[in-house]
Amino acid sequence: MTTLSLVIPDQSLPRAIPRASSLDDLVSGEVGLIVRIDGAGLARGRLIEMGLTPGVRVRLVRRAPFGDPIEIDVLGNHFAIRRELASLVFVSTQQCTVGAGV
Amino acid sequence: MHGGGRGVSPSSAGAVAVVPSRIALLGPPNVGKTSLFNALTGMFQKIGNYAGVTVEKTQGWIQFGPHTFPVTDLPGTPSLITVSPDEEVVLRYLQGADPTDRPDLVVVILDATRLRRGLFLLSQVIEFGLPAVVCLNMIDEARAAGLDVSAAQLEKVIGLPCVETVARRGLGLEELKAAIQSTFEKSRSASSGDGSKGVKRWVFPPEVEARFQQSLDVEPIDGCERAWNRIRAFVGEDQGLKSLETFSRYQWVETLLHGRTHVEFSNRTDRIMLHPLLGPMIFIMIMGVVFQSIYTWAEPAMESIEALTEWCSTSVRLTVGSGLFGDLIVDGMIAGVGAVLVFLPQILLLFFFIGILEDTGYLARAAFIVDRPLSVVGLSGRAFIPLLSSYACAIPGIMAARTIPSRWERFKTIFIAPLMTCSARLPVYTLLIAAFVPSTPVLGFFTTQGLVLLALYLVGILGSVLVAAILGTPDPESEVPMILELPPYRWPMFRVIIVRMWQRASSFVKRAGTIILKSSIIIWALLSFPIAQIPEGADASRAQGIQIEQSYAGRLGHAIEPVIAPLGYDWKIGIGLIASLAAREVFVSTMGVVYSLGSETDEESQALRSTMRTERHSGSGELVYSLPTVLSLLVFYIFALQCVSTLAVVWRETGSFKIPIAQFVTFTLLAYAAAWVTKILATWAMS
Repeated sequence: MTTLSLVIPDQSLPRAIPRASSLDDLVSGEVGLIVRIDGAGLARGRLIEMGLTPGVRVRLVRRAPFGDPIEIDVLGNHFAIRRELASLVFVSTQQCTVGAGV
Repeated sequence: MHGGGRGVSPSSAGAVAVVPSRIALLGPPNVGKTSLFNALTGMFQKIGNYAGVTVEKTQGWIQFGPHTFPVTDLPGTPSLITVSPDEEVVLRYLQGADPTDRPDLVVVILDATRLRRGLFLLSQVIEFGLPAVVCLNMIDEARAAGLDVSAAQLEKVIGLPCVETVARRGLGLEELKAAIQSTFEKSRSASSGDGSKGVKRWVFPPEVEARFQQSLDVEPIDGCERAWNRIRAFVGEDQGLKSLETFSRYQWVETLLHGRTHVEFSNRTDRIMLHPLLGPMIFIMIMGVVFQSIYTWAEPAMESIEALTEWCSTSVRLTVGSGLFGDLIVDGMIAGVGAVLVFLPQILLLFFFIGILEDTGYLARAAFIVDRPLSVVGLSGRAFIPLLSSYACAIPGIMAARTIPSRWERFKTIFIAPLMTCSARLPVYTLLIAAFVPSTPVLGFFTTQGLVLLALYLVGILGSVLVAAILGTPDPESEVPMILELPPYRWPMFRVIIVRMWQRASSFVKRAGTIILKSSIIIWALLSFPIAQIPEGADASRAQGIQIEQSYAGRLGHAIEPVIAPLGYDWKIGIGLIASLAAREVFVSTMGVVYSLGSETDEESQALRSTMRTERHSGSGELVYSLPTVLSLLVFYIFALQCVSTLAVVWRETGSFKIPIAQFVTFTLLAYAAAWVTKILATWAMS
């Protein structure tokens, strides 16, 4: 993970590290900037190959009628993932203001 | 094509040009790959399996001048790196694991409205070094949305031939075929045959790229080793490098796109379809229609097939007479063919609806809505339709399990599907309940008969939950996580749906039909041999009764009597249990034969009911059908897998005969245990 943090493009790296919450903690319609992805194996591999890489914006579109899974929008693709999987994705939610300023 | 040779067709220049012998279609899910495949190949398709696994392999043929060449429609896969066991098939196929069936050219299909994921996959395909043609599908939608994408631009930046298509309307097919042909000719004339020539690869960030290049210097590069394998080896198990690699690929994609974006997803429909309150209501309505269709609407067609079978039997009977040969033809073979064909209406209807739901994009939404409740038993929303269908009949239900992407979940769904109370159990339930359960009003509205029937359904659900819990969940490390892609809503393509229905039906007849036919002949033989001595003066019904008692099935019934005696069953019920392996409802007509009432007896027969009510054990003289015994028999039918056709389909769908055997043994033991407990409890309660 240390090598990873070196290469996150500058423009997407927030100046001050804001509170990083899990993707699952977003409210419907909220956008977060991906900070890191935890986990291992197929689960992690699938997440990042869906385009959930650090620096990418992800939007929680809605939660399913029974609360789980959640629908997310990443790079224009909509996916449903379970909250358990979403909790591996850490996002910062203050990037919108910081990102806009840079 | 013959023996792995390459096809030859005259080119326009008059020289003999070589065209590819094998083309593979590859793309992420939901890019219109199947539509394109159908548009290219037409109606003639073959469904098989990849060697050693049960992943379906669809093959068609494409016309190049006077020649036809095989095209394989590979399962949709978002990536070739992180692959589930099923997607590994795609990987191995592209790598040419089977030298006799190695693709010579890959057509990579991209959704022009959402290029990023497709280009990500393309970055991996390029590294395979196979000749490739890029197909920008749904270009009309991209244009309509004002996206600045064109094949010419993409071709310039990627260096691979690109064509624009609208597969759903059959546009761009000739251009695609021309591109395939010229690409192949080019790669044949170039000595290396390396399709990645002139293509600019993505690179790691500088310091990592340097390390990567060093690793290449250290290890000598084998001529046939592709860049892709080297990258895979370099990244290895390092999670950081894995992220970097994916990230760098997406960076490469961004440089290709030059800030071009994607078509924004329309949210309006889903605001209603996935609404917290309306969503589940619409879901229930749609599923209600699907269920109703296979439960009720299939009925007239099934009855016509049965009538047709009957008519054939009668006509053949007139021709060949009533001898043993006639019996074999009529009761063995024609009845067997009828037993296969009778499933077709339900299979066709179910796959018609699944086709519509899949094509419109609602199938994924349905899974999204119902995922949470099913996750309690370790399944996902994808298991809903297969399990729901199994309430009509386990056979279409088990076939519908193909739509489940996770291998483990598919297995689990197939395993528990026979526990859903299928319609073939109803005649057995109706007969036993109507004859033996008193119709006492309960709470003014219900009757005991209705409540018993309801309890039978509920116990079935309980049993499936129990079995699902015992099967557990797989190792999360090796199993694909539940990721549902929610594609934009589209109008269904009826041509594609009909082709798919036809494929399902014909593969059922070809693959499972033969087993069902054979087993129904075997069951007929068990009931008909050896031929009994019929005493003078016995009428036809009496003769049938004597025949069945002295047959092998009758002897088996006697043989298993000690085993089933604790449940209160005699050898006559034993015959019924054996005969109902052909199909559960056969229990009713078999009991009719056993009690010498003729083979036309059905569950509404008053004669059968009254005979059963007065039937006594030959030794003790006690009533056979005491209430505890009846309840125990009902419970036995909830769990027991008394259906050879189901076993045949499970065998074909899972590719392993061990799974149906395991199911049969598990459910028979479960049925026996549950029936025994019921008998004991009911006897105790009534004493």
